[in-house]
Amino acid sequence: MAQTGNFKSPSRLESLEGGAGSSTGAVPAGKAREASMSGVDFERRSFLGKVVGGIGAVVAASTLYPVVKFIMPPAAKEVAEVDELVVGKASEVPPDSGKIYQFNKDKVIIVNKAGSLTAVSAVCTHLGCLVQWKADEDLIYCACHGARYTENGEIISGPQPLPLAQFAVRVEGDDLVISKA
Amino acid sequence: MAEENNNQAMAGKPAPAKPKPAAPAKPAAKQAAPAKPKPAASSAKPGVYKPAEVRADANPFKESKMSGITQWVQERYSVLNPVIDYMKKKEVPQHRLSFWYYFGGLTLFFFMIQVVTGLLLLLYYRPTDAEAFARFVMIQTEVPYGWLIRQVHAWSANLMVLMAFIHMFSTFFMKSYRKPREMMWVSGFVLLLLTLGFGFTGYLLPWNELAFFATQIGTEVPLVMPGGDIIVQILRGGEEVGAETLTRMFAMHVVLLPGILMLVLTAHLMLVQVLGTSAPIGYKEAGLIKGYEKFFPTFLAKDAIGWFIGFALVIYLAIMFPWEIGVKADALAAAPQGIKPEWYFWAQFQLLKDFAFEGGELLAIILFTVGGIVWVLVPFIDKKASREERSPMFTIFGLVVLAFMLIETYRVYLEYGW
Repeated sequence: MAQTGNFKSPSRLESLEGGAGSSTGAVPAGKAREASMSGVDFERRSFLGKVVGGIGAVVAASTLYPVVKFIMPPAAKEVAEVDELVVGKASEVPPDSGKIYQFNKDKVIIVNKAGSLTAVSAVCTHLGCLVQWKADEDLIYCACHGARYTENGEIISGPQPLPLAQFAVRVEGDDLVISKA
Repeated sequence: MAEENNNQAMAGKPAPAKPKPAAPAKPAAKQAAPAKPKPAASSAKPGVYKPAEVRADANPFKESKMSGITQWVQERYSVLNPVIDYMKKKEVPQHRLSFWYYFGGLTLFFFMIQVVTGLLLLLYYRPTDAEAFARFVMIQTEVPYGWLIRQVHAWSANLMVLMAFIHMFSTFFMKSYRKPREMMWVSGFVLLLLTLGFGFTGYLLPWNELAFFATQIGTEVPLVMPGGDIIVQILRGGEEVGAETLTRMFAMHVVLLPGILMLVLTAHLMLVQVLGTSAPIGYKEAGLIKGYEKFFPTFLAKDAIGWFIGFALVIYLAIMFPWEIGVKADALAAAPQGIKPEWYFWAQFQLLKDFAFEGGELLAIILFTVGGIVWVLVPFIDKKASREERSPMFTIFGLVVLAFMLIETYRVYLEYGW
């Protein structure tokens, strides 16, 4: 029978020699065979462990699948995209201000710069913060890392890699209507 | 093993520890301590000097054959070897009642399932009266395998309670609670109460009609006690079962009870390791012990086989006998027909119904409280068992308690069905 590894383990040496590496030469007479075998794992001993470990691994692996599927968020319900949408009243965006609206999956900021309306994506292209209209500087500003854009979304300064995506906005009667650019 | 290891550690030391330098004699000195540990020199120089700690050979296993990772661990953490050796010391006696040793492990196994499935359910569940039921349904209808996770959580909870009861009565009849294991019994009883608390608080969380009225009835019980209305208000977070109750039950179920249970469970398992597995009274003397097997790894591997069976059972039950989704709780709806608590509260439930006379409910509550106290104090009352003598009186007492619970439970079953 093969021995698995710890043939020279101190506990075995202990029982054989009365102490690993520090043999005094005297072997206690009472230390009989049984004690001397205790430090040895025979392969037969670990058979049970191997079977249980094997089955356990299979069970764990097959359990993992439903668990991972459960953790992955279920797909959101598909909502049909619209080309244009009435998002509010024109009076909600007075001159020299901006307001963010949801349009399909996008967040869009409508800016009223001295009476002229523009609409651009409100999500800063740097790290995804929502921008605002900075009235004292007359520009779109991201408070997170100081990105600055024009009212049309073009880059002025800051860390952002891309300009803001453009949308179209118009006033119909009293309503504010956002549409795809 | 531990002693051997300690001897070894002693043997590894070439000489008694070096004498400590007389540094503390000059505490006022502010000069820098010598950089190198030279005890002889340090007596002349001021400053506090702490000699290098004299340890046994850092790696007593360097001669043995082992993998790189084991080697790495051994070189650094061989100080933990006595702990591992100590764990190896634990042995389980083998005799004709050894079968009952598996139920504690099974209880633990089902508890672990509860932890995992509970954490998973937490990803989607929302504990508010507006959303709880909708999310409960959503978990089972929209989330992939959500139905399975919920059903396993519900079934594993029931099996955990069942295993805890079996474990308790088997240790009772084997008198395993006797000296020196009194505190194992006490901690185990606390664990059972916590488990029942889990069952009760978790029952409300689906926020369906059944849950709502079961909680209504359960939290009404303390009312018959003097001062019980305060307890009821604390449990409900108001006069009635409602949104506040849900939040409270949720908080208890997922934070408070798990925290306490972990502490008590740690104590319980540490005691098992320290005191080992008990053999029934007189078995050693009568030569009925066929042998001892190592807990790590032999008994643990056998335990694991029991766990596989338990796992298969819980999956089977979850798929074949799903718990109902029910109807959303409505504070203005009439209670559904045949409403009853979970099976592990049936004995108490039946007794409350039996004691229909004036003051009977209070008497039933007193009976259960006193009974519980006596039950937990049994190891201290049963002096005979602590002297390793047979104590048939306590066996009879246990049988009476068991018979009472089974009969009352069966009566509820007869009346209401499953």
